[in-house]
Amino acid sequence: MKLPALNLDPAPEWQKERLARWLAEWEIDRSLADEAGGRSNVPDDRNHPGVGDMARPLSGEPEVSAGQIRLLAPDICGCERLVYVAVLRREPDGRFLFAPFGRFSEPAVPGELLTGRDTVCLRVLCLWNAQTVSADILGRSWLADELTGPEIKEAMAVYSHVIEGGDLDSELEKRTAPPLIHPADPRHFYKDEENGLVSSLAVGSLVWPERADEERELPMAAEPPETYGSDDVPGSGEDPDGDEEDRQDR
Amino acid sequence: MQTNAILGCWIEWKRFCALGLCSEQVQEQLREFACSRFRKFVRQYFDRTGCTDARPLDHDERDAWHLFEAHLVVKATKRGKCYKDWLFARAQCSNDPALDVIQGGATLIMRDVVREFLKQHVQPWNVISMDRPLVSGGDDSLTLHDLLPCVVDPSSEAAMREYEQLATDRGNRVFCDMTRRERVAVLAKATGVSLSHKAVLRAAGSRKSVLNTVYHALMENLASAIKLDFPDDDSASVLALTLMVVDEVKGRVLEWGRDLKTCAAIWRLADETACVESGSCS
Repeated sequence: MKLPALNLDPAPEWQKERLARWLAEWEIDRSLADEAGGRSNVPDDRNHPGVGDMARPLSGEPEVSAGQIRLLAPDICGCERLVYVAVLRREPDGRFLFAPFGRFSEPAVPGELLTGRDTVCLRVLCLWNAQTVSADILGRSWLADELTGPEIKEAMAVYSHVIEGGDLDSELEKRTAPPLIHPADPRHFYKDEENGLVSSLAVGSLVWPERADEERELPMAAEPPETYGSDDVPGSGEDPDGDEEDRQDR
Repeated sequence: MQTNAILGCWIEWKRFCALGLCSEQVQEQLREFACSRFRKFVRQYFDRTGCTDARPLDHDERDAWHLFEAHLVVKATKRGKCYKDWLFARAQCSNDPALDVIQGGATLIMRDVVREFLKQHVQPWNVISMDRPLVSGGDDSLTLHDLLPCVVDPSSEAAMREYEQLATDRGNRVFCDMTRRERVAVLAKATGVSLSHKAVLRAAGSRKSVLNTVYHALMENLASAIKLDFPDDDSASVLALTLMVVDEVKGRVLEWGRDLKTCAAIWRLADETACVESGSCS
């Protein structure tokens, strides 16, 4: 069977090239993903003279203000990589809007902007992942650099586009990512990974009755206890996906 | 070299800010560290991809360390090299031995260094064919071509109605064959709740890594099956149908999950997220 014919305008070449570049880097990144490593048998050296005071104290850093590029301290975002952020603006309630820089050299998903900077860790700004947090939390960081006026303006234009929709200036659009449409696009994996990167900071600073990820749920009185799935991996064994139980439970 | 001595090398490097200002012993130790990590990751890349280009292994200790030190320099000032503070701060807030943590952090940086290097020298993007499959497994695999949508001319209205009917039929069939775990994953995605949230994992009876894989496998299989059924059609038309089928499936899942007790927490989270985003919460 053939599908009915649609009148179509193909995607522009720059989108295809950008996606090809990103996928090439993504595939390399996947191939370098570490296997779980165990601890070495080094003796505990936390008391080694010199370790304790080698990192510049955060208390000595300049206060947070719009236009800064800061490196988040490792104890606040709970992630295993360096996260540089751009502080975009101060909100009326005193909190700050910020966006993380990405780890690849090409924008991956809509809302990511090629900055034009050469420094590897500052090439892509992820406005889709922008968050608002208190100065106390964002202040747990080191000041690394400053954004220029045009950089702030461009970042805010893309941010507004993410939040409100509408058109982007055509030159600016060519510094963003191709649309993320296909449900099996590998960029979904990437976006899922990045989604939690800084959102935990934002949750921590909200005035909110309970943290979403700490919500405890009590079972209903008449509900039988649920059993968690086994450590199933597709194809790993008998009914590895629990499908039989799933089908009975539909 | 003893552990404390190795740690002392990292401390000296941090104190003097540049390896060239450190003692010969420190330079040798840290260059060897960089080189061993560089080669380890390059070998791993070769092993996993089957690439046979041996040039990267010619990089010596000086090159590897230079790549490491230059990788995260924002500007040539102390502030611009604050990644060094990050390395040591990790050690301060970890319960693990400081040397493990510092070298672990440096290894993470080295991995990114190698990725950058391989991207430039071994797998440049312009050799990626638009027709190359994204996943291994045969001719029906998705390609780069399949991922990028074309803009559909609105005058295709009559044709779109046929697509809608095809999508409804196929979407129903897909939904009926889905496992409960798959349905919960789609429900979470459709309502904007993270697949890693405890409530979602509890409802699915699954671990985070499994649920993520389940969801993506469902989407890949759905897309590949449609592509297989319409081999003579262009990628844009197939994508248009695929998107409509996915929408149909999401609609069926939302109906299914609406009144399920096991999914109640997911709906609550979805409502809370919508409330926060709209700023309407008190």
